[in-house]
Amino acid sequence: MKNHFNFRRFGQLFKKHSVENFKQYALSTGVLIGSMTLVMGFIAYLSGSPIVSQQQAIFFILFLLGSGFIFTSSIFSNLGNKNQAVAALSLPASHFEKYLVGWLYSFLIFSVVFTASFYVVITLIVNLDEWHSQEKEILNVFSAEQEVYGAYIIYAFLHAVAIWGAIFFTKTQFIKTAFVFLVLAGLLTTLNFQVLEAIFQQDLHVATPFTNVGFQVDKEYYSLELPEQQQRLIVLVPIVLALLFWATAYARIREKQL
Amino acid sequence: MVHVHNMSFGYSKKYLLFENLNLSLTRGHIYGLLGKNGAGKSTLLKNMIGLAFPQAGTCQINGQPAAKRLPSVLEDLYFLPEEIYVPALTAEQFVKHTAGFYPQFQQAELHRYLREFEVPWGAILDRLSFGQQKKFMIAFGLATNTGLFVMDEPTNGLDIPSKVQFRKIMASALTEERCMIISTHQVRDLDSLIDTVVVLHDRKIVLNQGLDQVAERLTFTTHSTTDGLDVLYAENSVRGQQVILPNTDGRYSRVDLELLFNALISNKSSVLQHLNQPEYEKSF
Repeated sequence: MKNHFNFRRFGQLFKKHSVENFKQYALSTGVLIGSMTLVMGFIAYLSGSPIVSQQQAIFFILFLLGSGFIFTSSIFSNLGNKNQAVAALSLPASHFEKYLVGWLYSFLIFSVVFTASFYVVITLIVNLDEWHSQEKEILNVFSAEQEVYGAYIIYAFLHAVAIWGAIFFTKTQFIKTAFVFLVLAGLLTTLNFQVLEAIFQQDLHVATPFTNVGFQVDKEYYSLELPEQQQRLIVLVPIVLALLFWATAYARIREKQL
Repeated sequence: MVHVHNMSFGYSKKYLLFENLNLSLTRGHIYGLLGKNGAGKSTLLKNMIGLAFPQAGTCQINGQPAAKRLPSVLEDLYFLPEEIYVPALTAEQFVKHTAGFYPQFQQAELHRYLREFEVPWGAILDRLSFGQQKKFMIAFGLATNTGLFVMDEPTNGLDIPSKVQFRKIMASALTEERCMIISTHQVRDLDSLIDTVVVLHDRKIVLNQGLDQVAERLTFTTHSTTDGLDVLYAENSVRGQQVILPNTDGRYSRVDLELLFNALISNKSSVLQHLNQPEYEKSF
């Protein structure tokens, strides 16, 4: 067991990773805050009104998924550089501990830092001006009404894909992972559409993977989907896929050769 | 300590770099791994320490498969690659956050080695010259006191005084509990340092013998002419003919590693045959 996980050793590894990457992570956080301020501030300035919570939710989701994917793609960049990979792989810690440090930084810590940064930026923008006495509102990510927190589940899936790519590819991990992801997503959508059309033996209007099928018969439009009480099960799709990609990424780190 | 058993490895399945390779290395020795450029020295080291996986056969360290890279194995192993990586930390910070992974690490020893190498303690590592970085990592590796210390071309990038210092420090750091492996193509850098020579050539280990045994069997000398001599191998030099002869009178000569290496890779098998022939004790 000690060869797989040891709290003292994991603590040491976490500290070592933090100290060695502190500057880079601090700079990345600065860039993230700067980008969000620039984009959201510019939109608010152009529209002459504080960004409403629906817009804030869109920005929150897009920035979370985009910046998270980029950050995670680089979390194991040391394994793509031969000199750094020797140092990383020969360090006396288990593969699981090494993987867990990268996972924690790119998923848990990133999610917390991102959410905090988002609130700093949106609070700043909303309170920067009186906005001609228009109503000011700040998005509550965790409100049950808007369910913006669902973005964290989608992020879990994208994170799993990105961390797999970060370990699988040795160079330009972000571009290669994004390319493979887009190609596979395109293939899945096309194949799903073609297969369902073959099953239904008619033209379909819509066929989204894992969700619904829409088609028309004699001017009547039909939408085939799970019963309402089971629709929430769809949330399991990204979670199961995330678990699969996380496990594949871990297996890949164990098999890494130089 | 290190056991390579019937190992085959290649970067492609069509061309194998090693085939059924066997090698055993024990504690208490400094091994010199010699081979031409491209012979596969670095690849052999990577297989030995689990950074590359054999296609067939096994590589074990202390009875554990190296490919598993278990922490219990890694904490008794330090590998210094040819191209090193140092983080943007001071030596002090690096040691503070890395030494804890090695249970036998001795800070006092590190300071001594750094003083001898003239590497500053407070410097930021990635701002040091390549030679200074390398000396720091050699000193750190030695101070870890791991049972297995593997170095790939450690003298590349070192100036001449540093190479002399390197030999001195290495010799002083060898204990009965340690096995050190130094891979190089700069054969002269290993003079007066190693006690066992391992030569990798044509996908095989062609020699794995102590220098004492080599000196017992062979005589290394220089002659103006080789006429009338039972020459196993000869090379022209400015001083005459450098030759390898059978050691018939039992006198020990200093093993000329470069001449021995050239003889072994020249594909003239007489030196190898002589080294490998069984020795019979005189009964009268």
